[in-house]
Amino acid sequence: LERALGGTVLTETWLLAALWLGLALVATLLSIWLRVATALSEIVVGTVAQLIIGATLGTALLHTEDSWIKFLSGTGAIVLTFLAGAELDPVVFRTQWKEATLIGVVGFVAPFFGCTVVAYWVLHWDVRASWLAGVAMSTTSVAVVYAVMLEFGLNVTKYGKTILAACFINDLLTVLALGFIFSPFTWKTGAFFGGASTVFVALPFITPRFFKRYGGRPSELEAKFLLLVLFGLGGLATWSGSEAVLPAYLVGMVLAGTVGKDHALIRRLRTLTFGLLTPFYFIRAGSLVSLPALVAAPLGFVALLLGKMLSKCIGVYPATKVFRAPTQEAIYTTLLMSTGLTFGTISALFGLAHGVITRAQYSAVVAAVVASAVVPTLIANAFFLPRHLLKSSNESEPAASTASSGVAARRVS
Amino acid sequence: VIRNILVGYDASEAAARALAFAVGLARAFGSAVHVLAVVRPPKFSGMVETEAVIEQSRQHHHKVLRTVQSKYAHEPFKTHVHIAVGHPAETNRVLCRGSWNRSHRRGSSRAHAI
Repeated sequence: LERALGGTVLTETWLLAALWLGLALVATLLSIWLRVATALSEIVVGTVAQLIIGATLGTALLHTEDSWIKFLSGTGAIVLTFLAGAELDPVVFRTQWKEATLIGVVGFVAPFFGCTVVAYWVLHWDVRASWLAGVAMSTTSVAVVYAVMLEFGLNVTKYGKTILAACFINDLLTVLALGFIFSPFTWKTGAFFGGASTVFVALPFITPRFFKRYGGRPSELEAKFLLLVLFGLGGLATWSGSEAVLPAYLVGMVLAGTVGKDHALIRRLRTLTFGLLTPFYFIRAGSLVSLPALVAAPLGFVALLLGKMLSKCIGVYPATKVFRAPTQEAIYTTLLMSTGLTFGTISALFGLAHGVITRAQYSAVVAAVVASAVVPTLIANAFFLPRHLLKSSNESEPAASTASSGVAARRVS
Repeated sequence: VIRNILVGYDASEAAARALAFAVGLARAFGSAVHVLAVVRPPKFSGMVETEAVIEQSRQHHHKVLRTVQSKYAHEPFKTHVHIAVGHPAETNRVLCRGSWNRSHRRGSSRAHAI
């Protein structure tokens, strides 16, 4: 097919881009029909497409290692991570930080060590691969937790706010672990730490003033400024041997109170991210999964998934009990915090790109990450939904109230 | 006497019939009509996707409810529109109960949901 396409490099590039966007479109349609996350659908489409295209037209047709595909893919991960960090609610975080930090730390530590042990002792992976598995499985899905909290009105309760803030802490620790565990720790690490810290302190002061003075024009100065910061810090991070999503998440968090509240800007960045960048990221992540390797050795996938769910139970459940959460509520919280998708995929891809894990190990980790995005939520909602919370939260605060404008909307936290 | 009528509305054919029924009752009793649309968060969403879906749904419902409100603007009864995020059945129940609690405190009859 490649020979038939022939022609100039540019022609080949446009046709290849069309192929990737075609796959992205198929994935989006599937996510609409099956009501699953677009990211999840893109990973699966990438895996299946690579298998089918590889078997029929040649394994290299998707050109996953082309520099421009890697660039779009990497930018997708960086901007998505930035947007995720910007969703943090600083006010809620400040009021619930003690409980959130305890649950968030335990939610990270338990699966991190639990899955590292599983990978090392049960799957007999080497030390670095085992650490990588621990990092990838330590994450939690803020999106899934947030959606469930919203659906049942728990986001307005103290309990819901604590859990949401804990998810941010959990993911922050995952990103920090990914950024530093595999870092060589040289003077470059110090330079990255110093440079990034300076930027994190300066950004909340500089950014709103800069945007107020020059922003709000068709030239999209805000997007250019943010991309400059993200690329600059990403470059500094990778130069020091760390990972570019680490500063991106932190930039999002420090700008959550300012840029994060600019809904129009966030909406424009989301269009760029979901419309162009993340399809390349998730399809590429999926295309690197080897289904034959997964089928040949399913133990890795199953062991990591069970390892994550069990270790989250061992860690998060007692932590919720410290705050005297009733049993059903505690189990529900634990299961919700066992979910995870994006940071797990990012960690796995980092490991594969840096030679920490093999293709077969990568496949097992990504499959476990994908399953962890669905299985715990299904179990939690089917058996452990704490209905007494619905009653108490809703009675104390009606779900909707009439606003002076005539349209009432319960603002999400 | 029916003071408040709550109608769950999602722009479907069934919802339109419920709204028409509520309007009929409101004309007869002089009740206020509360039209409620509920944005349901996606169950299996990805990072950043949840907020995007909710925001888009809000905009959609806002447009739909504005049409409803302008349609009944010249009626003698009052039409209030509401958008909430959550589980549709739970939100309807809770809003109705909230309305009942307020009415009960004033010593009047309870709100009715359709």
